[in-house]
Amino acid sequence: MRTHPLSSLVRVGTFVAALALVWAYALAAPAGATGLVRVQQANGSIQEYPNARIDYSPDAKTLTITTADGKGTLVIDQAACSYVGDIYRCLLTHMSLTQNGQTKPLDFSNGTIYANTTDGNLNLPLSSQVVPPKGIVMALTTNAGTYISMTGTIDSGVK
Amino acid sequence: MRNAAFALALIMLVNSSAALAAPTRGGGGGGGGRPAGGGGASRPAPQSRPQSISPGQSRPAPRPPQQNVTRPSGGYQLNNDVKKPSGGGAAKPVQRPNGGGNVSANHPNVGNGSGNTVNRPNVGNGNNIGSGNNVNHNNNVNVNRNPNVNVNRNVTTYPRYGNRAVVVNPVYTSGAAWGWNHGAVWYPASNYWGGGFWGALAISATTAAIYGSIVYNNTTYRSYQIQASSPGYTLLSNYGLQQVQCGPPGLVVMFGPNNSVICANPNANVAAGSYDIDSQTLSLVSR
Repeated sequence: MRTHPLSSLVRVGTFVAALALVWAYALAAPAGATGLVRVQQANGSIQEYPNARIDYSPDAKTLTITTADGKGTLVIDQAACSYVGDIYRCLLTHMSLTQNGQTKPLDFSNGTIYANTTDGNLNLPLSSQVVPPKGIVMALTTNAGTYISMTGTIDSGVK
Repeated sequence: MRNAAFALALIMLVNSSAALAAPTRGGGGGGGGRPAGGGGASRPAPQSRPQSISPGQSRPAPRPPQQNVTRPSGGYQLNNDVKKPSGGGAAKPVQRPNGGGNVSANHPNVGNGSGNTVNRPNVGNGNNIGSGNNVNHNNNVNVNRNPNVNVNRNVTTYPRYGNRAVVVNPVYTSGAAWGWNHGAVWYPASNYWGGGFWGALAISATTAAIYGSIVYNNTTYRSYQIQASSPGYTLLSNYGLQQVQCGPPGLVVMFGPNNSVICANPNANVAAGSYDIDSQTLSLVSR
């Protein structure tokens, strides 16, 4: 079976083009990481906010979690952090909600953030839950009885 | 030739699938492509989020809507979870979460029976926090008081501190009262500056070596050099801290008895920030 002399060149070109497409797709993936925020109200209703954007600002030293539509942002600006093994754990001491042009402190009772800043999977302390590399897990309760949880990944900044 | 073409197509397909399945870099071994921390393949799905990965698929199928679970737009539905405005009254304090209602009978410097000890206002007793005329004290509405995300290595919370973060004394980790003082109650000595916590300063405060001062909520706290073998000295040495001049930002600021304050450079044990001192357990309580 004979093939055209240019056919192999065409195939190589196609392969390179495909690779370029793959690279372009990978690079086009959101730079800021995303996560799923889950809010369970005291009355049992649950709201989920997928693809929430998670950003850490080293300058402002804040961690922000913004809904996919950009309408609401949870801002964590005070926390006492420590290492539990290799897991980075922060006890939240202050956070606020920026929404509808207003920023109001969140009346939460307690909350914890776990972040895996390593390149390997880590278990949460005394738990089978695995936090993937760059993974972040948050859970908090408000004084109104609302549970807020979040799982996701963060690209950088959590040190 | 045909086989080679098939292999090429397969490679392209795998590459595309991998790119589609990985929302971020890495991800820990292809854990199903779940965007929210699903890197671990063996990780069970969280409650009420059943996995719906069909055999042979690398991406989860779209999740069917569940009962009681909605995906609203327009931001978070947390209207009932934000702090209510204080009403505009000038002197109405905003309480810290869980700060009120805690009866901290075990707090240091309370009830030593001497009757002549003047305890520093707002130290430790959660009932004092924000309850006086100190409007700005311990009010998280305040901006830039301590915006840093601290790094403390041995932090826990205790109800008696209103669930404030406590950097447990690395030496006296059991937290037993007066364990640092060989089990003996430490009585502040009002004759000495700082209740004697930072040293039995027989000399007057004015002649003690001044280690700077800080202004906190309109109150000026002057810092003096601590004396060796004092409780405060023990505290600093337990945490591996070294006293420095107060004033510059980024320091560990420790508020002791009687409007006293000591500053130190942060280290691996204690992050920069403001702390109250529990002289029972000789621990630092984040403000």
